[in-house]
This record gives sequence, structure tokens and C-alpha cells, in this order.
Amino acid sequence: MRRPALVLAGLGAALLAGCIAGVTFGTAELDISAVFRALFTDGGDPTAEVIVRSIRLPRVVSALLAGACFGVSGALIQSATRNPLGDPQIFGLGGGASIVQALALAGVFSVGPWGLTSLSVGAATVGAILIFLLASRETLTPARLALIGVSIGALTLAIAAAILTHSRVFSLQALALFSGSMANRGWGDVTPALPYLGLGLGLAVLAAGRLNLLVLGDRLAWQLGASPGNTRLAALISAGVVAGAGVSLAGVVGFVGLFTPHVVRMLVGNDARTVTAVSVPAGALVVLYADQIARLALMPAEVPVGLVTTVLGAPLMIWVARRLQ
Amino acid sequence: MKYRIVMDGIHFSYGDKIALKDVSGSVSAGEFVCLLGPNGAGKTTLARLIAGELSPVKGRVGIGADDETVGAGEVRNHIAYLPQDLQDPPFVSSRELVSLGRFRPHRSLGWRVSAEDNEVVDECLERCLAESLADRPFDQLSGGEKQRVWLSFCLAQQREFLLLDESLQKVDYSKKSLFFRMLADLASEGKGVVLITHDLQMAERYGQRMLVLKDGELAYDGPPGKDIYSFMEE
Repeated sequence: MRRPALVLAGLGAALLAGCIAGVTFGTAELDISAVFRALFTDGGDPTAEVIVRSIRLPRVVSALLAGACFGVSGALIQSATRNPLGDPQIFGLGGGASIVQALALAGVFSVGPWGLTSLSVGAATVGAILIFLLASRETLTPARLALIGVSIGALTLAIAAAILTHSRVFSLQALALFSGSMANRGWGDVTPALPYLGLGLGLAVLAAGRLNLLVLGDRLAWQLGASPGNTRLAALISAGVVAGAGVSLAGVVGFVGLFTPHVVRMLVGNDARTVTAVSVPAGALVVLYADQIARLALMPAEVPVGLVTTVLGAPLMIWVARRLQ
Repeated sequence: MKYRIVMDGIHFSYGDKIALKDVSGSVSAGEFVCLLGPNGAGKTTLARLIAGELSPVKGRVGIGADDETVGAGEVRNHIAYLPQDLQDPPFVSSRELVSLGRFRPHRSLGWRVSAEDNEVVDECLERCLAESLADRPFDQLSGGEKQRVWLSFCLAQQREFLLLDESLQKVDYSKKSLFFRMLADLASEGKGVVLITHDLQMAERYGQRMLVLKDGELAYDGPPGKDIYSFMEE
């Protein structure tokens, strides 16, 4: 089963179906023709237009972008650190961004969506550089790196929780941050993530050709004439940039970055370039579908999307882990 | 053009602990040299110095064609070095691992290597009796199987020298002499082979020249013979 083109076609079809579901279903009942009229023609029913164009569509795009961010971030971290546990949340990159988000929720500073996204990206990138510094030590085994990553991840989330507790933010906003949610996302929240996703993917493309060599470990990669440190730094910064953008879109959504690359590897093989590339649409698909469940399962109430990805992802990850051995 | 690795008065120490004292010698392409010595004698340190991972405190390591010597930075381009105690690469099959040996710095690399590269990879796997392991995940192989795949990886690099640090240690008894013979054959095909080993009988039988390190000094440099055993006593 190593047919990237076939897998991409399947992913494309599933994404299209998910997008249509995302703009069609919801609390307000609209039939599909009304949705398409609202999307592609002007001057129709103004309520439908607002619901479809300003509420449902930005949320769909938000889910796509956040999923793409987490999927590719996980793939890059796994390749760069030779670690099957690589995931932006587990390694504390998302946690760094969540501290920034918590500070903003607590009113410590007030910046617009662009500023908040940029700060999240910055915080996650700092986390990525920390992982880079730790992972560069030859004596650090993948297991020990994972232990350190998990600790950093837990610490950052605890700090974010402490900030929210201290400033008495107990509301849905706190739940949305820690368990992930894309409720009430408008275009203003979505657009600042785009350039960062672009930047991160651009960096990933630069590193991708050498990512395969990193599985050898630095000593052998260096012997072959490569500069593994530079490749790892580029890959991890890229992972940090997109993870920060993802958290600013959706909060801390767990498991997507962890299991998406493993499933992708089963479908398209081990080439790190293909795995990284296919993890973009695959991650988008996971979060898009998880968000449909989050929106629709208990309608009109919402389930945090991070809970959906965890409930779906944990058993899947256990299955993947058993197949790996 | 015949290459030669030259070690010229190498000193090396880890902090205060002196690891190598005034080691001089050379290895030419076409030679099968066994590097012997008790534990802690400095064999692995010498290998790392030759491979360029460490720099000598005094003296130098170089590689040259005939008389001309190039800098240490370029030595790595001529050597396929296999250290001890490597962590298993995750996510790869044996064939994918070996095909990484085809990497060249100027070109980007996926698994879909050229037909010529694929041919080289297949040949190397076959030569190391690893063709049946090709499609298995590397991290699920046994210790000896992994060493056969690592050897294929080194051969696939097609460098002038092989520098192997106890790389045959886990290969099972029945195949061991096959691999020692293979290294001797590689030398007769023009490669320079340096093997660190504790297997004195095999070394004596197949190696052309013995280098014996003891307490960081080169105690013997010459053809195999009974006297190498005397250096192994503590």
C-alpha cells in the first residue's frame, strides 16, 4: 500500500465531503441548495449568507488549517528527533503557545488577532528551539528526549492553567484553550494563521530533502557529508511555527500530531518527504471531521474538539503502536 | 590513484585521562588491517580520530593520494565509518537504510533513488547475505542481522576505505568467516579496510596487517603472528 497519489486523491475527496458537511449542517437548518446559493451568489437570503459565509465557512477553514498545522508539526518532530512520540503537544510546543493564549485571556496584555497569533508562534518556536538544543546531544536517547518533552509539555500547561486560575478565568474560554475549540472563529482569527502556515511549510520544504538522513543519527549523517544539525533546526523551527499557528486557531488539540504521521506512514511508506507532505491534508482531515463531531454530536451544545481527537485518537494510536512492534 | 590514510604522531586525551600517545602509522587502499588491543586501549578513540569525529590534541590525521595529504575535514568523504553502539534508526526498512548510503551532499534524497543506485543497494545487500532482510523493518531485526544490514549500508557508500568498529561481533559463528573473507576480498579489490575486533583467530587468518594498541600506544604494527597474543594480557 504505497501509493501516495491514490492516498492523496482519497484524502482530497474526503476533505471535500467534510467541507460540504461543515457548511451544510448545524443548528440553523439549511438545505444544501440554500448553502450553495449563499456561498456562490449574492443577494439571496441574508441570514443564510451570514451563517454560511461568516460562521460556518471560517470555522471549516479554521479546522483545515489547524489540522494541517498539527499534522505536519508532528511529522516534522518525529523525523527531526527520530522519535515515534513526536507531537507538538507532547513536546511542549503547543504548551508554550497556550501560555501566551492564557495571558491574553487573563487580560495581561491586549493585542489583536495578528499580535496574538504572532506571539503564539514565537512561544512555540522557543519551545522548538529548546527541543533542538536537547535533541542535539548525542547521548540523549529518544526515550529520554520524550520524557523531557512530556515534562516540558505538562509544565507549560500547568503554567497556563495557573495563569487562568489566578485571573479567575474559569469559563468556556479556558476549556476551549485546553481541550481545543473552534467555536466562534471568524475570518479575523483565521487569516493571521495563514502566513505562518506558509512560512512553516516553506521551511519544511527546505529541510525535507535531508530529513531522511536524520534517521541515521547525527554521526552517520555527518559522515555522509550532510549537516544534520542544520536540517534538524530547520525542521523543528518549522514545526514550532505551525504548532503556534495551530494553537492560536484551535487551542490545544491533542493526538492529531502524534497519530497522523503514523497512519500516513502505513499508507504511503517511510520516505520522510512524502510523510511530511501527506501529513498536511491528513491532519486537516482529522481535525475537520473531529470538529464536525464536536459541533453536531450534542447539538446545540458543543464538545471540545480536542476531546474528540483524543477519544478517537487514543484507541487508534494503541492499534498503531501494537502494529509497530 | 591510490589513497592512503596517514596518522602522524597523534595524541589525544579525555580531560586529564590520556587516551592515545604518539600514534603514527598508515593504512593504504588495498589493505585489510585489523586494529587489536585490550578494552580501553584506545581503539575506538583512534577510529573516531580517523573518521574526523574527534580532533587530535597533537599530531594529525590525513588522507592523501600517493604523497599528497588532504585536511582532516575531507577525510570523512573517503571513509565509510561504522561506529559501535548505534541507536536503531526508526521508521525504516533495511533496504531504505542501505539506500541512505547512496546520499551525496549535493543532491536531495528520498527513497526513490536512481536505477543505478538501486542496483548498488541490491548488490550490497546480497553481498552481506542480507537480501532476505531487505523489506523488513530494521528495528525488528536481531543484532547480527542488523550488523549485516549496516555493513551493506557501508558498502553502498562506495568509499575508498571501510572503518568498522567491532562490526562483525554479533554475526553468528557460521557466517563470521564468510564476512572476514569478504573484507579480505574487498581489500584485494582495492579498498582499504580497518576492522576493530577482538576475534584474534579470524584476524590472524584473514587480516594482512595487525595494529595492536596497548595503553594508548601503538605496541605492534606488522604481519599476523603468534606474538600479537602477548599484547592482550592485562
